[in-house]
This record gives sequence, structure tokens and C-alpha cells, in this order.
Amino acid sequence: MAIGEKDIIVCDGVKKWFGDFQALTGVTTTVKEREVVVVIGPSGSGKSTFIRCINRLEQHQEGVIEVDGVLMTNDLRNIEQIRSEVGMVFQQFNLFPHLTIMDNITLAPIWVRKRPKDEAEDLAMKLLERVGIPEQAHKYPGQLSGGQQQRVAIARALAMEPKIMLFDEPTSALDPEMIKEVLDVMKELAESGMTMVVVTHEMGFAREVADRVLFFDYGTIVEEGTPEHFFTNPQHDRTKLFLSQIL
Amino acid sequence: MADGKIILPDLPAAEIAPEPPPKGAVVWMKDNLFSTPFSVVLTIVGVLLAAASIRGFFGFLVNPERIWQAVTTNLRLLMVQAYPDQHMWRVWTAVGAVVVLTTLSLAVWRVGGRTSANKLTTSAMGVGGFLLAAGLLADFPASMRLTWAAVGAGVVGVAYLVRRMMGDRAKVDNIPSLAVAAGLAIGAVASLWVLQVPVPDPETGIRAATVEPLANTTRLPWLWILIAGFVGYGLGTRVRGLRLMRPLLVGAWALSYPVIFLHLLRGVNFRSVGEYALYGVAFAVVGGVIIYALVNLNLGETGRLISGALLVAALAAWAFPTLIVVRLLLLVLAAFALAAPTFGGSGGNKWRYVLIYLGAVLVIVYLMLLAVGTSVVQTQSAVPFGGFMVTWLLAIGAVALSFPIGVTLALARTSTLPIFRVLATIYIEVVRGVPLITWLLMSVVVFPFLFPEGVEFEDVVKVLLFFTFFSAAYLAENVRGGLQAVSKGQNEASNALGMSTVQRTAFITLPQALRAVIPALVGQVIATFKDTSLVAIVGLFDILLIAKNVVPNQSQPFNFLGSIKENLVFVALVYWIFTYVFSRLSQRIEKNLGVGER
Repeated sequence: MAIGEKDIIVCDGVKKWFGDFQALTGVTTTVKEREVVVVIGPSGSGKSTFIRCINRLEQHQEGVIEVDGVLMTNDLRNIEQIRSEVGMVFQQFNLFPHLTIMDNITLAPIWVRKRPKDEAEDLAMKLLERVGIPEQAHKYPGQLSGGQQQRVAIARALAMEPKIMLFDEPTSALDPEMIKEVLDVMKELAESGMTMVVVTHEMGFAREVADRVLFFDYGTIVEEGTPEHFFTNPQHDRTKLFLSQIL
Repeated sequence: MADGKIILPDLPAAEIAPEPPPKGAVVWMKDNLFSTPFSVVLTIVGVLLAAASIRGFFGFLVNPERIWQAVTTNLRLLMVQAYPDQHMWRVWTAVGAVVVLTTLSLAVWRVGGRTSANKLTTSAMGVGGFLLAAGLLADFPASMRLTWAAVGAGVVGVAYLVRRMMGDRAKVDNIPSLAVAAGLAIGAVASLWVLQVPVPDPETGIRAATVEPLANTTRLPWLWILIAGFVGYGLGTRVRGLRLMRPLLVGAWALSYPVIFLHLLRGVNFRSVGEYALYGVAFAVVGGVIIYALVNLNLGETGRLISGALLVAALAAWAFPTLIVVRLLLLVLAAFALAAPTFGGSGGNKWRYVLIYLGAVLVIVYLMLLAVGTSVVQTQSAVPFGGFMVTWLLAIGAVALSFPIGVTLALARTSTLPIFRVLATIYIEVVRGVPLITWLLMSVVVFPFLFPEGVEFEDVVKVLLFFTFFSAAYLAENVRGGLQAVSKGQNEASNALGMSTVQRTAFITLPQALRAVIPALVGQVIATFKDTSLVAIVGLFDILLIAKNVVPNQSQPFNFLGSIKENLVFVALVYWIFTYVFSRLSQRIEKNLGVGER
């Protein structure tokens, strides 16, 4: 699906400190509607911090972040509403272990979106079919494999019908055999036209699915471009070094 | 491999089949009891010690000098102290209500696993073996030794035969645990009818003048309660499909305590029904309209203003002379209004929130009706509570009331707002820093001066309040431990889904935190139950004080002077039975919630 015209995430000079340590040293970029942006970089480069600032799990201290036309500031009164428009998938899945898969997915639609229960459950079943595990609906997260859990986490985020999906290293905690099943779901999602920002170490996914790749280091974007440009003709020395080490 | 296939070598299956390790009693004993010279010594010393203590304990129990009639004759005193005869039905109905609620809930929640004949016969063999050992070792009269040994050997023999005959079927978990519990209950009630105990003559005071059935005044009520329990279970199996059954039962459980407390303390004073009904209807209609509007009309800022105004009014009512019922109703209305945006829901359950509010109004009016007016239960002492009844009421009340307070304190102490954190910390540290006995004394001596003249509480209420505050502080720390065990990722996930702080706490953090600390909470409950024996210090006659001071001093018409030993053993047994049942129940709950597996 073609990338839209509208800017849905706008970041300008975003800076963030953890105590004395500066995690983000000025990030400037925009993400357009239906665009798939993959963020790569060495660990500690600030890529996770960056996408966690987008739904304000972390608060940036300087610069501007605008999500779907709403400025992320401290006196944001409806932070819950913004967050419900931005789905997030975590490295550690973070499913709710005391609830069944069905309850995991329907909890937020029922209580945050105020949807009737049966409607929410219908939607949840459709999403579980989409990620390929409808038969697990009444099990608990602990009874599922890592790959299945991560697919449930994706379904849970999608159940809020978000405009943007953020993925924070979704496959880093998975066995190699399970990575593919999660990546397949993400590919399908990208093809359906979802706006996605993905932090990952899966270069194959970046090459195949990304519209644009951001390379992070020292808390900022060192280089960005299309996958072809990025993987075949990197300009920056730091990027070349990084790619030579992982490819 | 040229063709890409991996060929596994054929293993000679029969030859490598491992030989099962040798089994049998002799092997086991050699491995576990007599493996080294040191363990041989340990085993012999241990067996001798065990034999000596069994001999001593049973010798103590059956010594002709023991006055067990002091216990059997005073059972009623120990249980309910001087609760008046014509009101005993209140006690029985209270017990019956709890039993029926329990069996109903067991049926509705489909509680109860299955056990195997193997496990049951093992328990039976344990009991039989103990009887046999007691009969062989104890310092009994010869005939009694023979009886005990024969009964013990019989039980072991039958259990062994049953297991032998059933063979492999004995290992299958196919016997409902609830059926076993029901069997035990039937046996206990039947024993009230069958067991005969010697009874002293009230005229002459001669001990063991006649022989009568044990507890001949309680066997009928217990029989009815047993039947009611079975009926409750049967009813539960019929209605467990209904959707509202579980919330209804939870509500009934929550209500049962205040209702029973007041039902035992006094009756409804019907003269003031009219006035209270008026307040009830007024709040139901006006409040119902407000809540409905808040839930359904999406008032936004205006809604928040209305809720805020209600809260101010509710707080103001406490500063000005107002009827307590109005103060409480206003508070509840304000609370429901404030929580409306969070829990209001939508769609199919538009009316549910309003209905819950109406239920709360009804409950408050009913409880206030019970609480006001003069008591219909008159006794010599100021409070009609005593004996095991006061132990039970204080323990359950303190646990039930301290639970919400403790959870609130724990949340406050982990809150991001410093003011809550500081207040909760001060409360917990102050309450924990002073011994319970000191607090109890202060509850009676100092507490009354903190209230304006004319405001008075019964002693038992004061003690209950202080027990609650004390227990809440410890509970808060236990719950805080659970809250810290919930991973940060859970908070982030619920935040990322757009949940508010209240929703996150209610649906994600608290359920996980409480599950994690069930063992600690059960320990807290058991401790509170046993700590109730401290109320003796403020002059409440609980079971321990009666056993220690009252019964051993009876000389007319019966001479039970010096029967303190027998009474203490009995009291210990009563405490143990209840704490043991409680601990087993909590194990089942833990298993059902799958703690440690999910």
C-alpha cells in the first residue's frame, strides 16, 4: 500500500537524559501515514528510548514530538487517549499472566474503548485468527510458546484499533525457530497499510519490509535511507562498521 | 550422508531397558534409617523419644485425675458465654447462614478436586497406626489399651485390604474431595447423637452421676444446619449457570459479616423503619438519576464538577450535625459519582452501575436500621458476646475490614504522590511500633476521650476497630511486597494500552500482587485469629479467659476446681482445628489460582 502524504509522527530535536547520561542527543525525523520505519543500531544507542518516547512511556526533556497532530507535553491531559491510538509490542511480550488470552485482548477495548463485551470478543477472535492461533483463546499466557505469546501481544495491541504500531525488539527474546512466525505476522501487518516503527536486529526483515531504515548511535540518527541505499551503499563510517560486524 | 538422510543406529531395546531400582520396606529402611552408624543412633533415639512422648501425652489424657467433665459440661459457656437462652436461635441462624453460603459458593464456583482411594487409605492407616501405637505404649488401664490397639489395628487392616482389593484403581483420582468432607461432617454430627459422656448431677454435684449423649442441646440445631448445608449445595448446582450468581454471592459474603454481627448484638428496631426508608428512597431516586446521567450522558467537565460538588457536600456533612445515615449515603453517592467515568462501562451494561449503586443504598439503610436503637438482646454483661463467638467475630471482622484498609495503605505507600507515601508510611510505622496489647488497652482507656461526649462504642467494637487498624498495617506491608513483585513491564503494557491508573491497579497490578502473597496473607489471617486471645486483657471473656479463669473456679453446683489443664488442652484443640482447616483451604485456593505455574 502506498505511503500517505500526511505526517503522523513528527520529531524535532528530541533530547532525553537519564540522570547525567544523555540517551537521546537530538532526534529529528518524520513518519508518514502507512510508512514502515525500521530502527537499527548497536545496543545503548537510544533506539528503544526513542520509540518509547513516541507513546510517552519515557518523557523527553527537550525538543518536540507530535503524534497524530497532538503535541506530547507534560500537561497532556488525555495521555491515555493518545496511548490508545498507538499500539506497542514489547521485547518481553508483557502479556498479563493472570488473564486468559481472550481477556488479555479484550480488557482494554472493554474498559478503555468502552466496547460491549461480545463485540470485543468477536474482534479478539478475528485478530487471533489473523495471527494464526484462534485455538489458544482460553489458555493462559504461561501455557503458550514465546512466539505464540508475542503474536497474542500483537493481537492485543491491534484490538485497540491503533493508528500506529510500535515494535520494541519484538523477536529478541525468541528462539530462532519462533522468530519467523512473528515476523510473518508483522509483514502481513505492514502490507495491510499499518504505520509501523520497528526496532529490530532482523536485517532480513528490514531489507524486505521497511520503507525507510534509521541507523541510531550515540542517541541520534547517524544515517537514514531506503533499505537498498542502506544495505548496499552506506555513506557513514559508523554504519559501515556496524553492518560489517553483523552481516 | 549422500542422500541427505540421517540414519539412526538401531538400538537393542530389550538390553538397555534399565532395571527398576529395588523397592520395599526393608530397602527403604536401610537407605533412610540405618544407612550410617550415626543415623542408626539417630533413629533409635528418635523412636524412643516419640514413644516416650506418646506414652506421656496419652497418660495425661486418661489419667483418672483429669476432670474432662469440666469441658463437656461447660461447652456452651466456652462457646457463647452467657448469651441468653431465648436468643440462642440468633447464634444458630448465624452459623446456618454461613454454612449455607459456604456450600452454595462451593457449588457455584465448582470447587473441589478429586482424591484417590490410595491417598485416603494412607491417611486412614496413619490414624490407625497412631491409635495402635497409643494403645501399645500409653499408660492406660489394660482393657483400654486392648480396645485402642484393636481399633487401631482394625483401621489399618481394613484400609490395607481396601487398597489391596482395589489394586491399580486405588491410584486413580476419582473420589470427590467434597464427598469426603461431607462424610466427615455427617460423621461429626452423628457423633453428637451417638457419643455418650458422663454427666454430673446438678443437685448433688456428684461427678459422672448419669450418662447422656454429648451435647444433647446442640445436636438438633447441628442436624438442621447439616441438612441446610446439603440443600445449599444442591441449590448451588442448579443456579450456577446463572450469570449474576457469582457477583451476588460475593455481595452476600461481603454483607454477611455486618449483618451477622448486628443480628447477634441486637435486632432490627422496627419503630424507626419509616424514617430510614424515607432517606433510602430519596437517595435511591435522586442519586440514581445523577449516576445514570454521569454514566450515560458523557458530561465531561460538567460531570467532574458535579462529582466534586457531591464530594464536598459529603465531607461537609461530617462537620455539621447530620444523621449518620445521611452522611454515609452522601459519601457513597460521591464515591459512585467519582468512579463513574472509570467503571461506568457502556452498551449492554448501561444499567448495571446504577443497579450496584441502588444495592449499596439498600445495604446502608438496612445496616443503619440494625445499628440504631436499643438492643433486644439483654445479658448481665454489657455486651452479649463471649466465648469462642467473640474470638470468631473479632477474627473474621478484623481480617475482612483490614483487607481493604491494608490494600489502600499498600497502594498509598507505593504511590508516586509523596503526600500519600508519607502518610501511609507514618501510619504503618506508628501502628507496628507499638505492641498489640498496648493498643488494646488504649482502645478501652484512651480511645473514648478522642470522641465528643455522647459518642460511645461498645467495648467489643472498640477492640474490633483496633484489631483492624493493627492488622491493616501488617497486611499493607505484605501487599506491598506483592506489588513490588509485579514486573515493570506489566505497568508499561497497561499504560501502552491506554489504561488509567485506577484501571491498571484494579485489573493488572493488584490481582497479580495479591496472588503472589497468598501465603503471607494466610499467615497474617492465622496470626490475627490467634491474637484475639489477647482481648482477655480488656475484660472481654473470650474462650481462653473462660477456660483459664472461669471454669477452673466453679465450685457450685459442680466442683471443677483446678480443671485448668483440661480446659487449656481443649482450647488448644479448638484453635488448632480452625487454623488447620484455614490453612488447607488456602492451599486449595493457591492451587486453583495456579500460583507458581502461570
